[in-house]
Amino acid sequence: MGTGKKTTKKSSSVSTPLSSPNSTEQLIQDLSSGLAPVTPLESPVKRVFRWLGVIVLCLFAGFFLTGVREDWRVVFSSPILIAQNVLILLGILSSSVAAILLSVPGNERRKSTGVIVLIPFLAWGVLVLIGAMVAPEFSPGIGISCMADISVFAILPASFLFYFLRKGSVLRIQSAGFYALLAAAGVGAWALQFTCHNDELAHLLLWHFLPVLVLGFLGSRLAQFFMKRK
Amino acid sequence: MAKVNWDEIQLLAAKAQEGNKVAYGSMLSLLLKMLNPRFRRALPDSHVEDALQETLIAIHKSLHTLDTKKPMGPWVNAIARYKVQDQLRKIYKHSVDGELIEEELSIESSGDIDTELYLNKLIQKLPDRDQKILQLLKVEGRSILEVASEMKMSPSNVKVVSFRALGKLRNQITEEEFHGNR
Repeated sequence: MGTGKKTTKKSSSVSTPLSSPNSTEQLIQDLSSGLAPVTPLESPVKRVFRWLGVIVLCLFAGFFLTGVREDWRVVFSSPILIAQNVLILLGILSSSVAAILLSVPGNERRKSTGVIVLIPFLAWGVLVLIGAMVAPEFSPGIGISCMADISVFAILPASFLFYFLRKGSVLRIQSAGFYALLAAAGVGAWALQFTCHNDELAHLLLWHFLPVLVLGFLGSRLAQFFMKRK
Repeated sequence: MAKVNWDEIQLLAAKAQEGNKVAYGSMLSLLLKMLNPRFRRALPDSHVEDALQETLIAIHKSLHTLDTKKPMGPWVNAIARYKVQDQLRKIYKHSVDGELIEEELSIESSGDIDTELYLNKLIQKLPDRDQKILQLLKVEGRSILEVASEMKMSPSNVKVVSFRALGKLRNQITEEEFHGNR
């Protein structure tokens, strides 16, 4: 923020004595006398691209450290995996855009718009759910390491997204946190397509899709600790 | 109510972002004039100045997020709306924490249509018994003993139910924040 010195924030506890219109006039004087030239926040588009640049670096670093599966090319040849990739990438994009838009007052969305943002991830969930149900057997296997990998891959993207949000002025903190961690967890889930050998849809449903959702909800809680309404 | 001259406010905001203190003071004064009647309709009188000051501070802290090429109304309105909600939440949080401040909880006496409609909407989501108890206690101003007698409940039970009902109201207000506008 570039609004100069910190203002004298007046307590607004309901138990304090009433403030007077005169003190509001005084506050205006204080605020205006402490004003310094402001550097406007970058446009949402620029910030989204900046974040995407960060996650590309994170992914390269992650792949370098964990290595990719030997048959990684299958991710681009199997229709079901291609569909998943596209949906996850769209989900990452829509969630990150939604989160960053929420860092500017006035961009709060209606519930219906919020659902539209979630469509790619929901479609991914439906895809793997149907696939898992029609499969001859439900064998998700044990995927604790997948959950851990998603979380690890999500840490830096989530941190950067939270940083971008904190630089703005978020009014709907829980929603912004939800979208932010959903996008970051989506990055983790996308990366796992290239590192996890198990392509069983039951496995993807239980150990890839659900952790993304859980992390999203965790994000709405974490945001309350890391962000404060200005 | 005088029509808001957003063009003028927007012009002042653009100058304020460049560091023009006089323009900034004028902008804040105009916003104060615009917000004051709205806040008086939405909040009990004793909380209006607090909410106005909180809003001005939030505007000050968020000035860098304002894109002066876009209409400024939604930006200001969003900040103001959430400050009103915060203030309402403080009022109800305080009330369920213990002391019930009649002025704050008496829907009738506030004479505030926005708040009354908002509260009525939230109260209608409560179970019938909770609604009835809140109606008797907070709207009709009956005593705990009278309500206990009418509801055929013990006084302590009435206190517990009203306490929980207020807690539910508080949660609803918090949920409203999560899901957006009221």
